[in-house]
Amino acid sequence: MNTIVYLLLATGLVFFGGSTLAAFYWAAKSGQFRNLEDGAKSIFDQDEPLGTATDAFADKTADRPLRRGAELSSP
Amino acid sequence: MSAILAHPATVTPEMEKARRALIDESTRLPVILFYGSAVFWLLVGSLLALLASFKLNDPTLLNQWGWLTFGRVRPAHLNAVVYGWASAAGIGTSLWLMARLCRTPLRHSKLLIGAAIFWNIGVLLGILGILSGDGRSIEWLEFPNYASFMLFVAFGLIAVWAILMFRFREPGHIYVSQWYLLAAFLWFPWLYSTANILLNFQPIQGGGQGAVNWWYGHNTLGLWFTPIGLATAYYLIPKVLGRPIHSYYLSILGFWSLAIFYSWNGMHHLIGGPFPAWLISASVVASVMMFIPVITTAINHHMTVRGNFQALKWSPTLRFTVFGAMCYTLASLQGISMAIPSLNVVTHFTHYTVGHAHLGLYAFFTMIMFGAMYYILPRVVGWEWPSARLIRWHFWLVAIGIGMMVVVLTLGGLLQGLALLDPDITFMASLDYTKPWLFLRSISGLLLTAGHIVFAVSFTLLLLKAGATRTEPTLFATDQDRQPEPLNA
Amino acid sequence: MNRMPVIVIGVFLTFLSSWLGLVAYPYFNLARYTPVVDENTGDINPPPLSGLAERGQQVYAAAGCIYCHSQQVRQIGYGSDLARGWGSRPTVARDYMRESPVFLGTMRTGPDLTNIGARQPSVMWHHQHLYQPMVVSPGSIMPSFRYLYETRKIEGQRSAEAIDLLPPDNIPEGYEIVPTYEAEALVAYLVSLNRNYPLPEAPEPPQ
Repeated sequence: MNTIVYLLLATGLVFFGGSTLAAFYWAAKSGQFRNLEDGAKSIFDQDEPLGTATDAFADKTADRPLRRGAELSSP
Repeated sequence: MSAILAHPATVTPEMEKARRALIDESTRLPVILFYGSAVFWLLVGSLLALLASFKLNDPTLLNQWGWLTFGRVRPAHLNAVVYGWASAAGIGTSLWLMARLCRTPLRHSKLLIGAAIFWNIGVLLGILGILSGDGRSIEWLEFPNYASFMLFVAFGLIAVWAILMFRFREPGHIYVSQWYLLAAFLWFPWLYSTANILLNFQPIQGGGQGAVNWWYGHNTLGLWFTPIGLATAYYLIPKVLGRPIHSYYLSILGFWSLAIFYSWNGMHHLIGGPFPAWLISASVVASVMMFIPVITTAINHHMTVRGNFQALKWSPTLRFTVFGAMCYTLASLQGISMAIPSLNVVTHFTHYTVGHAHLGLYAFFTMIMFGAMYYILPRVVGWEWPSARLIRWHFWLVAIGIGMMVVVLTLGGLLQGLALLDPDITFMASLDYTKPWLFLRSISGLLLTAGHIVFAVSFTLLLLKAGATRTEPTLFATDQDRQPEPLNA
Repeated sequence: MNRMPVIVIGVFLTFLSSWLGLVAYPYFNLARYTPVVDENTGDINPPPLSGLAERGQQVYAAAGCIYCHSQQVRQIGYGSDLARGWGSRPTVARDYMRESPVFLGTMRTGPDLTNIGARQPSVMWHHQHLYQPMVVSPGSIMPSFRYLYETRKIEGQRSAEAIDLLPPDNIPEGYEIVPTYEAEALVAYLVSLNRNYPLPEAPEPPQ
């Protein structure tokens, strides 16, 4: 039974450790850590651009006829 | 459809909108399955929690049945909220985030549906197992083997799915949230399988079990719930406000320093215990080093929201998410202080620790999950939350409830700890100090449960499309809002 | 950020180090203990559990005693465990070699049970305490474990195992309260909890 435990632990170590290492190494190599400023903006698009809020209570929108994004201070 | 996905040279906002809607819609069934079961287990977990709490106020309450004894109801509560609620809500949120951030519709949803079924069977068997006396009394790993095996299968399916999704992502930048999610999906199976092998499948001797137990217990919070919670906050806060995260560099630094320091933290639950001094010391040092990721994250979230705190009034998502993000900082700083031996000696073995656990898993993680659900569900089903009033009730009930719970447990725990520390004070006196605070804790539990019932009603009405008769969307900005009209038009 | 590979390898190695330190190290060094034979008395320490007490360990786990009771006596400087008389010496890893699952615990809503068998060696006391904790120990918020006991009609002689209830609780005339096998096992385990035996690596601290 002990051998099984050894094997399971060793396999887990190699598999999970190896894949973590591989993933991180790949990320570094493929330039995921360059251009961080653009990276931060990657969640916006033309339809929901910077400066557009995307969530609000309905009744709060009524007394706030402003374009929500415009009201925000610019980043 | 293929035109939308093909990403032609000129992309119009309308195309991007359609594409986003398509991606959101593709996650509908798995997200609803995971969220629905999460809400169900949240209610079950709340009832178990109330029962356990009231049993401390009146030990004769329902004490004639073994399956409702305090020592079973309490772990049943913990496992129902940790695996049934928090993990399922976290998985549901992660699925949607993965699809959005990979910029591709969700694939292989059968894997996820299978995982959701296994997950729920596992949680159900586990809780019934604990109540019927099969519980293992290993904190955070009480589920008997037949239940944890089910969870492990579900996990395997989800991890495979995550890797497949990631492979088919649209090329481009990998947002920081994805780092957190992928790391969580890799770390958790490693933790869960190792701990289950050494504690349940082929248990090692008791002395070693303590160390493995807390390596697992603490890392579940740190390397599973924390990355998912932070991934969600890192997406939702900028997205709702429409401004990028204050410092993307800091967010990456925060991620790596979390990965570096967190995994050694667990042994601070065993300070003074039967372990080599260096093992405990290493844990204390790593716990103190957690200051780096915590402060980078705190600065980042604060600076992103700064100047826009009025947004908390009008965005339900932001209200919950920012509450959670702030509590992340609080919970982490508190956790660091509790690892310092001179404070630990007071707080160890007391209700202070229980308060800390709720600050972490509830005020931080659960609140962020509520925020995420408010954002994600309307987009996934394609219609609105039925009532803004229900959302406000939900927020205030749970915000006041959790605030009160943490405060009373912290004060009660401090009194208890100081009394325990002084050998001239009888043990019974240390218990007497806690009694009024434990009563107040039950009251705070009632508030939380009321909030959960409000949320469950809101959730059910949403699924029943009860609120869909409105002509205007309730919660997200309408297209009209987005028109670049002059302000005084 | 072009030092990425270095950071990456660092991250992996630290997680690995925690795995080695908190999993592999305990596996090889905290879980390979053998008992020690006391040269003066010939006792085997920690002593093996009786079959009934071993069963009692599982009852203890099933009842979730761990959620209010710890089983560890901390070193001097870490709380008042020794001063409270919860043990004659701090406990060490070898003390737990026969425990699975281990009941170190993280809460002290109730007192530490590392050496409860030394403090309360009476089997009857434990039965009474489990059945009517608030009577035996006024102020306690321990629930009654009456589900581990049977109330049955006396047929002929009152059975020898029947427990004597303390007032104000009383048994209806003609009935008796007898521990189930599980209650017997749990109490056998509790009275076996006595870790005041000597171990070479855990000397008794001076008074």
